[in-house]
Amino acid sequence: MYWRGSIGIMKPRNNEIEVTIFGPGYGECIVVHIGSGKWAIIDSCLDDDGREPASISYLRKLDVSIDSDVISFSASHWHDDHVKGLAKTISACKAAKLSFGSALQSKEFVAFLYAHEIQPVQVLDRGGTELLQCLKNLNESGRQPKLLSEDTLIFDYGQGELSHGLRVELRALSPSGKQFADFIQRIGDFSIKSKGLPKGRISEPSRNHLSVAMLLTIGNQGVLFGADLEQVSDSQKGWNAVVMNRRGRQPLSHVFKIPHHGSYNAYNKEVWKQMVDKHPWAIVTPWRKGGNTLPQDSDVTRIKSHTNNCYITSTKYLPTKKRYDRETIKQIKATKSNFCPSIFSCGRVTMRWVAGTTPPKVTLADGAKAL
Amino acid sequence: MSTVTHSSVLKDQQNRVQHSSGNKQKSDDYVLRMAACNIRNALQSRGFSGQMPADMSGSTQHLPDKCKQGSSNVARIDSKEIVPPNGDLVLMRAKAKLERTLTPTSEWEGYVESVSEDEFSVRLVNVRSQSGLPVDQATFHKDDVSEFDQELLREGAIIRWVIGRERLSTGQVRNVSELHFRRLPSHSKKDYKRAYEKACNVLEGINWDNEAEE
Repeated sequence: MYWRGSIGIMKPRNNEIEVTIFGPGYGECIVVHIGSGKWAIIDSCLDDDGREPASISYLRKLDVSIDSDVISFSASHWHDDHVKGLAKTISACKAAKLSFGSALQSKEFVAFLYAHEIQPVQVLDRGGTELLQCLKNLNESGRQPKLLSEDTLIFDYGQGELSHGLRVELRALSPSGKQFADFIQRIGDFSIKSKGLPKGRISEPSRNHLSVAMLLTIGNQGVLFGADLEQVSDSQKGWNAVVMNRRGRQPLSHVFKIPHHGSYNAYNKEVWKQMVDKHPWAIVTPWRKGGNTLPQDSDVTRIKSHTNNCYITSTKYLPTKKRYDRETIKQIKATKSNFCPSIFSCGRVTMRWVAGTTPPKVTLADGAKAL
Repeated sequence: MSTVTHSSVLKDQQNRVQHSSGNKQKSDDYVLRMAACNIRNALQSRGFSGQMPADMSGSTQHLPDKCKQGSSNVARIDSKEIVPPNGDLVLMRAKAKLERTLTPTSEWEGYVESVSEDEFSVRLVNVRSQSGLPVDQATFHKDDVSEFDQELLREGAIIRWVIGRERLSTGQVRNVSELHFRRLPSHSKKDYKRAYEKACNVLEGINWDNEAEE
């Protein structure tokens, strides 16, 4: 059976798998169809109008019943930069099983977020606003979320439970125990080290170290979601820990969401050698910081040395001309402050295939393109 | 032609600069009184004389002794102008402060994202934005930050950036760009204690799913 949603594309069939990645550069979001009309969402970002989560907007256009057909929502990050629209997404996905990084159970960590929340800024988020709103919603709704760390099973469906007949599971691959302990130690020191320091927005330099990479298994195929997990020298942290933990384990992934915008500090050669197929279908999301853009040219070269099937979710910036009048733009230019848009338009890359087969059919929209 | 001026915001709550701005006003008045004293001495040396109005007698208490002697010869002064005693010559007109009005064209709130050797980058959200999403960014030179604000320059610092038209009382109009570092209250033990209590309250009501897995 086919459904044509209001954006003119069809819903996936019951036996098809779909992975759609949105990456406007201020957060990213993944929407997955696992079969039989069931959907899972990972992370959150806002649509171009800045009002609705991109995942909700997309599913609505496909005429998906968001309150019943989304069976899982997982957050791989905790910082506002990566989870805009999180609270709204969770509220909309009423039937979804919720999963968050294990730091969320730590009182010190949540206190750290609250300590930054109380300040007289006007419109700017504080860095932990979205997650605190989410916690408040969880408290009020009585929903029972799961905590994610290395090897946590997020959800699974046994053989024969879904239309395609294959076993499906989503599993967290990080953070490792040592990574988690180090992060909590650092946060716990905050109450001592921050005394006397003026308040500001949370700028925790190790915030990516708690990032939750995930592996979706469909039969003997895998989809590796790299989140923003980085590569560090410690063998018990970051990608080193993941590779060591997954050594010899199947399946290899034929679709790979490249971690941390393809940057060098998230690159681990062994991930490409031991965890993904040769020439996987790879997706990267863009990021802009201080005038620099990720992935850089050198990152693209490195990615393409592993696969030619690589796509980026967006290449178009949110145009300044559409947001400011001519006089304002003229005055901005005169300040010589290198003013520029920091996020991209909300493009998407969709990969869809019949479960158990390859290759996926790739659809690019709203600024997405092949690298 | 635009002018870039950078100064800190003087009106933040619990802002110690409010006190120093009051001191500045007193300093300005003292400078004017000193100037008047010097003018009086110059006039005297040329044979001019004048009477000091009775209501200004109190103002000499902060002047150096040389001005207090023969204080009846001090020209009348107030905070806005120095008027010669006999009107024969106009020496100068001085105002305590130059009036200006700033009409903002646009205003952003933001935070410092990174600091390098010479410059720093900020992420910005327009104050009229409904989403609160910092969709813009800019880079400024460290030299553009006043010495007074340098200590505030660090990752995460909150800033306000205003561009607009400034009109001076002289009639001059110019484009300006002002970057203010917000002097926000410090983290305190009390703040952290309150934050910890809130954290305990919110987490207490959440039932985590810690079932054993296969």
